[in-house]
Amino acid sequence: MVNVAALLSQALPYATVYALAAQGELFLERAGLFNLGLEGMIYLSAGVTAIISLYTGSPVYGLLAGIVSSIVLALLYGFFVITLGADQAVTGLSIVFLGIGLGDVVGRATGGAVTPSIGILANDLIVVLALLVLPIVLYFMLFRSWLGYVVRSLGENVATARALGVPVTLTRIAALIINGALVGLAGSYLFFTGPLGSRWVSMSLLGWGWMSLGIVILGYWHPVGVVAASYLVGLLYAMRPLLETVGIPSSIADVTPYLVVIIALAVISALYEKMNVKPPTAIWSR
Amino acid sequence: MNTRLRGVIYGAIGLVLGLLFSVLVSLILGSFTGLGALGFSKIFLSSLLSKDTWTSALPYFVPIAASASGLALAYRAGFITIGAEGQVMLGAVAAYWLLYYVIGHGSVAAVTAAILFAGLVGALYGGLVGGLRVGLGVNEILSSLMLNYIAIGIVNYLVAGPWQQGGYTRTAPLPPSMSIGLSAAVLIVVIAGLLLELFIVFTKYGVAIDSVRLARKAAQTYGIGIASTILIVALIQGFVAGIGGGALLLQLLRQLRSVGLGGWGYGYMGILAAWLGGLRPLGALAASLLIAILYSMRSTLQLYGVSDSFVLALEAIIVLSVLAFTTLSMRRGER
Repeated sequence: MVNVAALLSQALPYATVYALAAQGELFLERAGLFNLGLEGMIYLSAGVTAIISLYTGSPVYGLLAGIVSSIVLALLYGFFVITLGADQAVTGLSIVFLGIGLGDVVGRATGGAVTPSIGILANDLIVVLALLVLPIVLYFMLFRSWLGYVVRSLGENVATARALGVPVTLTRIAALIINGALVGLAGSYLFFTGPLGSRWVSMSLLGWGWMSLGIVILGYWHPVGVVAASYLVGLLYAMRPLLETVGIPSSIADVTPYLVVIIALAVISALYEKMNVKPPTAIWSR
Repeated sequence: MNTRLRGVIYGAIGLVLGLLFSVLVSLILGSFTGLGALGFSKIFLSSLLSKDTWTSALPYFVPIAASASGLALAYRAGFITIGAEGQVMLGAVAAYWLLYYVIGHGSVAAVTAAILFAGLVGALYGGLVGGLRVGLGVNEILSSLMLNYIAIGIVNYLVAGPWQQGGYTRTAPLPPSMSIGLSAAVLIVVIAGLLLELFIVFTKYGVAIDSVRLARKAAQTYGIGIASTILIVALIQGFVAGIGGGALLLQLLRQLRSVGLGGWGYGYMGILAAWLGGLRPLGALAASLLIAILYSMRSTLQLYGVSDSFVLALEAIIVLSVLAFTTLSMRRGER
């Protein structure tokens, strides 16, 4: 007999990581930039969180340091894309390599020691923030406020926005800081509560950033859609052991989330369009 | 001066400046490794100039360059697939299956068939991404990424299940007769890159592909099918990446083993190379060589206690430096 309630709650930590990172990316993409570097930012943040928590003995400092490291990478991305005018895709991809490389160097410096972790209360707070507060705030901010029109105008038509007096660079830098902070929080949270349980193991926190990028698309660039997609994918992850107990090989069970995401997107793309939920034009048009 | 030549010259200046800058940053970072800046730079230089680095780089060049030259074509059409990783893996799987399980003996014809079959499977995987995009409006970044993970799953399933040989999660190694030499593998990939370059420069499809990204309305007006162009590009890109995977298996890997979460990484490095090469197949080949050399330096640097993840970060710094300076000097060149 499957314990449905347990399964639903097991999905929460996964969903939280995805929801934080994907909403950070969603905000940035609404502002017309497209940061492929999430994978590296999450990884660096997790590594920095590990070492700082270990050396200061405080998970809060670790968490904050993780967030800062991720913001630094986001701003580095901004420097390349905004200041130098470099290509977004290749910059983002380099950030992936940079973040994984540096994150692993600092993470390994912990020597695999168990670091102090955040308490249950802080854990629950982050879950509530990611899955309830953030989507509501982002929804009203992006779609029901003057500020949201400013941000979204950058994702639709930068030239027009600039002509109308929108401070393009400033808004985008703000969006990058939000992006970095949320993705960094995702990485720290992942380190504390993810598969490692506050202990660094090299190359075992991979794939989270990539999946988050996918979730932005699956949620069709809408905060509520993104959180729903995060939870769906989290649930699929939580269900993997269950699939193995009914005789599906673990390597096949591992790929079910990816398979379901592709099928889901193929089915619901049209549905979103009907509901008049549209992606930012600068990022994606059919 | 003609603009194309000017672009090349300014690009080259940017490349050199970027490389010099990255050496500087690497030295600063290297001084934290415990070797000191001077010790690190000595080791870095000797590793870069050693013959071993270059010869061991060539096997990696094969899948990276195959990914990069096809991706350059795809990106020209604004088709931002990142699926080369999965195509390389499935290409290797396809070549293994055909040679080991179907043909069962090695010969020039058998090996050629295996590599072509690898390309075919890669093309199907690429075509799936293109088809989903064209038919159902599925974003290709997402679908190609998911397919990469599915490819990892397929390899892991095969080596731990039906194809497993012995106690470890890996297949039996291919017998020596079912192999190709390094020079053959490199040659195959270079020829593929050359053909793609010629395809872009000398056929009308080159213009059609560019127009789909740069001037979609104009393309439609002049009767260029957006959907068919994207589909063709997706198929070609997948085909070349698949060939790279097949050649990689027959030359370097010889057997399949279980894969970690990160995959092999060649397809992702190919993306970097495609952009660094200015979205030209020939440029992508050159950039792939650079990235392959950096990648192969990991093993020599590891001997001196520099961790492989540190070298990964260095790779990124070098790519970013080159990117910064080429972008800057190209902008100057356009003025």
